[in-house]
Amino acid sequence: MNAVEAPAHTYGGRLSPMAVRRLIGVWLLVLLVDVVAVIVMTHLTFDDGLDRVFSGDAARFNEYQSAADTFIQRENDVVVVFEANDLADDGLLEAIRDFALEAQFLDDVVAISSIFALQRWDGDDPGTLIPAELPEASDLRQLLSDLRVTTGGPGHLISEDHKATAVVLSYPSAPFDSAVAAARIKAATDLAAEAVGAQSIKTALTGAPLLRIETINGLFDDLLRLNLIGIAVGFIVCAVALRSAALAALTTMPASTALMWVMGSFPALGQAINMVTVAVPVLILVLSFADGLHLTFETRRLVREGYAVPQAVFQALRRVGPACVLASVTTAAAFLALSFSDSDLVASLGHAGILASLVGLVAVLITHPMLFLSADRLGLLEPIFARSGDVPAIESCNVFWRWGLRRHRVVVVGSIVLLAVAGFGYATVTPQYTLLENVDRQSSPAQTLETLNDSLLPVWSIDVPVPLGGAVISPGDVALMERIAAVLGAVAMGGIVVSPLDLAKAGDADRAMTARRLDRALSGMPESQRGRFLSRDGRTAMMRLHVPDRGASENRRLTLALEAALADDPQIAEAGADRATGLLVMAGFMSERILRQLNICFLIAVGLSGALVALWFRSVSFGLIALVPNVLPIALIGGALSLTGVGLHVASAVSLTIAFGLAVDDTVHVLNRLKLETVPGKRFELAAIETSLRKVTPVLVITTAVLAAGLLGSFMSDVPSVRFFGFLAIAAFCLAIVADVVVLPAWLRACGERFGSGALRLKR
Amino acid sequence: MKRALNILLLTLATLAAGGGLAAAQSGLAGLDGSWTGRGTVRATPTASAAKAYCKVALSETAPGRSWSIDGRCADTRRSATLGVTIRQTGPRLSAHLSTSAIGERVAFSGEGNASAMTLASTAPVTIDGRRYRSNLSIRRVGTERFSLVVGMADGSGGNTRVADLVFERTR
Repeated sequence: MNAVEAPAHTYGGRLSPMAVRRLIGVWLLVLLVDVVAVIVMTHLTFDDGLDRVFSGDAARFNEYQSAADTFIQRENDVVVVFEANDLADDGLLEAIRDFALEAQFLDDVVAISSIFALQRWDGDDPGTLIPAELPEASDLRQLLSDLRVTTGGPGHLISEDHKATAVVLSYPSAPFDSAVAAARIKAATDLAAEAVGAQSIKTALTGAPLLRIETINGLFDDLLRLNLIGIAVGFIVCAVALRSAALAALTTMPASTALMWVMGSFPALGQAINMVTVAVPVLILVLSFADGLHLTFETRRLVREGYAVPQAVFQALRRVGPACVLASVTTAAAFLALSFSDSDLVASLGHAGILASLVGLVAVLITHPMLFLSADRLGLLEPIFARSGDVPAIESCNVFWRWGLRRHRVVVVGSIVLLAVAGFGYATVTPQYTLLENVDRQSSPAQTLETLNDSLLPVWSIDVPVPLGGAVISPGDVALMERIAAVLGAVAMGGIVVSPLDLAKAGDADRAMTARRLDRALSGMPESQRGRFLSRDGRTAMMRLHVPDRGASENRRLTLALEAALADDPQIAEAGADRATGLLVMAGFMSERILRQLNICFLIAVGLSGALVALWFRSVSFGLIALVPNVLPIALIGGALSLTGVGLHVASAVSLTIAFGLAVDDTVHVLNRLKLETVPGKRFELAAIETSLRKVTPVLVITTAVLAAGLLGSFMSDVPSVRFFGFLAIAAFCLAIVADVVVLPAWLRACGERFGSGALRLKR
Repeated sequence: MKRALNILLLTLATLAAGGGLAAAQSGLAGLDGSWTGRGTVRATPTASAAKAYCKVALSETAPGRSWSIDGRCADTRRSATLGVTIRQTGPRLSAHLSTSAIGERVAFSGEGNASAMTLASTAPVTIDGRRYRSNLSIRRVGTERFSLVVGMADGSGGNTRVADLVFERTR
């Protein structure tokens, strides 16, 4: 052990008057920052980040943007679904029609789609299929059944069994604003309730705005829940591990301060809480808990060895502090790697994470010594230390590293094989994404979406822009759209084709009449409605295949199959109508691209962490060895995701990269302890490895327990991606501790033997 | 359907003109405020009837001389904005309608008394190449309700009811 001298600012084992004044100054500074953080925290903003998940210079994204600029988009549509035992029963449909009429007077509504707007043509005259005076129930049932047959895709606005119908409220294309959307949804909900009155009709709303608000509300709840549970669980684990509630409280306070400062820094730097950044505060909380625990354990150990408390506090800071700094820097490096992503959302997580890691570190390194010195000044700390104890069960964890050291060759070879196999699995994992991955599937909007998918017209669609021959729709254009509709219907069994042709069903009439009707129908529409079928310049029509979102890989497969079938038709190919786009298509392909990028981000994180460790300890061998026990857990989880067919989602890829950055922390503390136990310039002896592991393993087990347990709150999240994020992070932490106490010791010993006495030697 | 709206809006404009005349005879007394209309309209005099719904606000912009009506009307497919100004010059009333549905101004005139009135467009209305004379009757029931019936006559003697609406004061 290195000799320890009393710091200059202590006096006879107590703080000097100057140090006390400084301590008071630090308190005032910390309290000031706390107040500012709390004030700024009230300005936290929440968004689901959907607008920023996908971006980048890729053909699929550019095509999506081009279509979004050319056509009126449907992303703000709200769908109201009415359900009853039989909508043909007396008065029910009348109430729903009243809603469809009155809904046009709701603020911002620009168009309404419903079965009441479905047209029939009498020559060139359009009329509504459902008459003003509704027929008797039996005739009405027949009429409703005919709608699905005679009107094509839009006829699916009523279910085959007449138990459900949908009314689509369209709003202007504009960037999503949750407050505006919430007001629109409330108005529509109130009007629907008023329209159905006491009738036995169930109403429910869905659509992208509701799903996004659902996500945002979930994020707000999650932020509170994750962090409150994180603090509570962290405190309990500390209290159990330290066998002292008071010591646990002293360790919890720096972590809570770090959390407060991090959350205060978000609005100060314009960072919103979204579906990926929501986990950052709790990650920093648990990381700060871990840092605080290392400092607490070291301080208590030094006090037990006979140091005065002030000396022990400063000495602990000097000995463990650098490891805490390196741990935070490696975590920040993992976040830095994410900032290289094309996805604005992922990059914003990277930026937020870097900031949070560093802010959290500063908070812990300032407040931990401050609290312990203050408690000692008040005469509280020595009795607290005296009453605290160790948990014998944790000591039994030493069996793992002993086994790892004893069987080091087997463990090293085994870890290499495992790494290769799991790494291969990870490399072949299928990228996955669904537009619903941030929405609770049991929520009303998600359930209503399922009703639409199962019985009515699915909200999502694969879109095919169709270049037209001229400014006026010609019989040739009609023929082309008919061919495309046939291809879409044939390839996507179960998909529902919605096209401009639905506006001008000519029955057995000729295409010239259809073209004439179509021109008339479109010209009679307001721009907000016409722009959904026809581009702003009138040169391109949009045909849509409405399908449920079955996940990115299935959507990619269907898109490619559609495009191949369209390209097989010479007339379609010649017209340039063989390329699909839309949100489903773009998200399907861009999620694949972004997930591939995230894998590169992970490799960057690995490289950065290894380089940082090597630089810090001035040993390339350390840098390389540090990677093995940390890459292995991530590779194992990635392999499991591949093997089970779950695939890799944005949340899981991000979670694994961050978990890697956090897991490196344990390795850093092992190596730091080894450094402390070794005379610089000398080779590591087996005894030094054993001593280091004996001292550090219990702390690592406890900090891992804090890390894992602190994220348990994620299991209570309403947001599925947050639940999965937490699950994967916890799995990574648990595997990482096993790797740190089994694999790392084996590699340390094996490398020492393999490369000779100079291989694992720290420079002075 | 656009024509149904046109008819409806012409009807409303005529109503406004009638309201102006009635005002001269105290016909619009107490009718300032918001009104909600429900009923049916036809796309053309030969088309089938469709449900319609309106929300308008009536206000007197110069006492006894001019009025304005602003609002929207909708059928089950779309809605259109409506703006009508009414001016009184001596015993005659003139009204002008502008609406997002037809994109042109239409003139009306008419006469009546405090409880019932009839009005007509000052020029024939052309629908699908055919010219119609529009006629309208309004029957007022107190200050909380009035009914509105619009007919279209094509000169052959037939008169088709193309709008049949009941307005109530919006609660």
